Amino acid sequence: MLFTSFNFFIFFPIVILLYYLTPVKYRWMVLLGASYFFYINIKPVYAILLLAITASTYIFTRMIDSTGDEDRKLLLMRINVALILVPLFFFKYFTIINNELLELLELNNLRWPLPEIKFILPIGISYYTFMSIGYTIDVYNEDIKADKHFGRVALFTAFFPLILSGPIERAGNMLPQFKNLKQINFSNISGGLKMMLWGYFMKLVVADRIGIYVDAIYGDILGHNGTSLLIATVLYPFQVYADLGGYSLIAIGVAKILGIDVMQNFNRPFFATSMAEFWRRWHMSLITWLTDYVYTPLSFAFRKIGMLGIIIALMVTFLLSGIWHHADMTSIMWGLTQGTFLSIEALLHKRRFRLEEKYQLTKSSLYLFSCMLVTFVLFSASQIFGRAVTIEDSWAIFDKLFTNIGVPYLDLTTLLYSFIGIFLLLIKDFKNEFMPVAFNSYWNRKLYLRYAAYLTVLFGIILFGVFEGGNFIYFQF
Amino acid sequence: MKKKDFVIKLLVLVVAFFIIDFGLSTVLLRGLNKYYGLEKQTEVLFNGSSMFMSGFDRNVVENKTGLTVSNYSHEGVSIRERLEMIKQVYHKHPEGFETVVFELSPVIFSGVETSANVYTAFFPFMDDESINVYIKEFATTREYYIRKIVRTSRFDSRLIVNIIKGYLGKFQNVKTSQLHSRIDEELKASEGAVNIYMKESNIAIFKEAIDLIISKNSKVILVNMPVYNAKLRTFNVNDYKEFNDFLETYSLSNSQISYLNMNVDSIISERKYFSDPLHINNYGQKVLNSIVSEELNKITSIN
Repeated sequence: MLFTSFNFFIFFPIVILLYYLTPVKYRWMVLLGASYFFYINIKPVYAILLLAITASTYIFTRMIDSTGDEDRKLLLMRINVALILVPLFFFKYFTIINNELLELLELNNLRWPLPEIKFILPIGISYYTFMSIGYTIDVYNEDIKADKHFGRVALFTAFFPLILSGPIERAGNMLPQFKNLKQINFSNISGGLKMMLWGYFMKLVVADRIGIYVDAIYGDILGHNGTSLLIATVLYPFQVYADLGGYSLIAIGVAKILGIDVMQNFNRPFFATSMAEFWRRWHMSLITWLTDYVYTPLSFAFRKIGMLGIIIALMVTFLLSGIWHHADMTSIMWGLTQGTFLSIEALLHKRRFRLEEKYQLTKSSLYLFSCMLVTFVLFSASQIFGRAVTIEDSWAIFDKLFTNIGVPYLDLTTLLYSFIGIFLLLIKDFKNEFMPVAFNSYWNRKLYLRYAAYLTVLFGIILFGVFEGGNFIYFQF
Repeated sequence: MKKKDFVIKLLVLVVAFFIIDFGLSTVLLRGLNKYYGLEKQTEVLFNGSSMFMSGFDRNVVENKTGLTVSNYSHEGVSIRERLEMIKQVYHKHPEGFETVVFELSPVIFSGVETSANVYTAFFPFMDDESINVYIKEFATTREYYIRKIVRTSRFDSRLIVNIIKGYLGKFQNVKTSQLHSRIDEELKASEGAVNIYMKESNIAIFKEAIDLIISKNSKVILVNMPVYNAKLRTFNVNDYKEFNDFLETYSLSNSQISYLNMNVDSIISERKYFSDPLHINNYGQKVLNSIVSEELNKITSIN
């Protein structure tokens, strides 16, 4: 069941009704039942995997918590992390590794014993794997206590608003909330609905509209010239932002209606003035997860070699992030590109800071705008690796961008709607970034202005939404 | 926020939604009718698919003929939808039209090259009895009832563009792109390879549409729309001859019907008139406007 499916609009009101009609003490059962129903609706068999990972996490975190032996704790933590990672690795990389091996062996006239098998990646596996790993490590680090209530742990890994594409939440935030589920709060319901509304606008009006153009161009790289590729390359970051950002906002809104606060996943990323800042604003739940569980331990391990240690930690973190997206050359290049940008920034950080101080550059709008533009250009360029199917396609795009200028592919209606959508998105982000209290429509004290805002967005979705746009981009990961 | 406040506010919002929904959908439908020219009775009706949409500017035809013109054409429609469109316009304007200009293309009876979800273009007209029956046949129950309840959901982004054009009163083909010279080479490979099927069921629907028009005392001009010659040559020669002969014979069967074959060398050999092998561009539209206006003038002067 997807947030954009009709079934969800039947399912969710029933869940809300059941949830608030059930005594607080038993509400976790409603949420757990709803979460498994939501997940089973996609593919029932994969719920077994989810349950197994939950059971493993529950048992090992309890064992970690109860042992006083540090070595045993470490061992238990490592075993659970390894156990949890096995299905992710298997489903994500088995087919690729098997195919590569088959090809390699066939070159030497040898047969690999396993036939070519293709597994469909269970939707959401990355997200509940990451959340389970995070929980295990947090218990190991004694940041939180292992929860004794299996139902709550199961709810944490399967919580339906988050299971398909995050945000990748922390046990430290979620478990206490599941323990103390709140009474009905109509301000929360109203706030959640507002978030969902804007999330749907981002997904259906902006992301899926841009997707029509980007898919047409990236689906036929040889058939399109550099100008068309340039337009698609500029549009793609907005598509991902509106797609995952929209999904996240819907998820956060759904959770809020149920009285549960979930972390923010995007914070107006296109107003970042450096790549480092960009990554603090983009897919924040993944980046903070990677920072806490990969980058920080690595940079700590390499602390003796100074800046080189930071660079190694950055490169490894983003390389892993790339491989997590896909086990192919484009994703590796994507990760290395991000790591390189951040490393260069880290190397130049002090010099930049001194320059900014000396010439009071941070007070100059032109300087800030230039920095935003450069950040956007760098990110868009790196996203070529994120969107192209093969590494050869990526190089072909880079080549064509500079050499094959011509009249672009003009799907005028799609482009017009795409740019209007982006404009509205940026206007809203701009207002929130620089004028958070001015021109408040959604939260205006005047009821008629608030209603006008809701209805404008709602009719915008009905009239300009792309309802056959398909899945969210991050489902595939 | 208290429960009572929340419920009241939600109810007010729902009521406001349905009031605006009704108002907005009325404005949109008015714009769409303006685009097609269906808001008022006209003397001439054009009915076709994307070929007619790109082929004619009804403002120009009106100026050249002095007749009022509507152009009820939509991309992707098959002969089945065309019949529904004809039924709809005669239901809306029972007095009928003096002349109906009816689009034809070699594949019209083959039953191919139509969009699978073309019925969605008719959602705005689902209050019309015949269109409602047609939509019920193709739309899912969910699709149907959502459109019945939320009236603005009957419109989509494609139609909005037409609605804007309707309110602006601009029907000119703005496409100025022309066919590339390599198109001849590309199409040469499939010369004669495309079959034209004269499906009996589709011919029957076509005849039903024409009979309906004639029964309302309207004259019919069957227009075989121009196809770029290299593309035209991809059709099987014998099949195309059979198609053309059928239309010529059919048009002779009734004095109210005339046949205008626009697949003449002066048009179809000119790349500059086409934005793609099946569709006319801005330059081609000017030529077609003149030809069809001349034909209309001829018919009206006979009367």
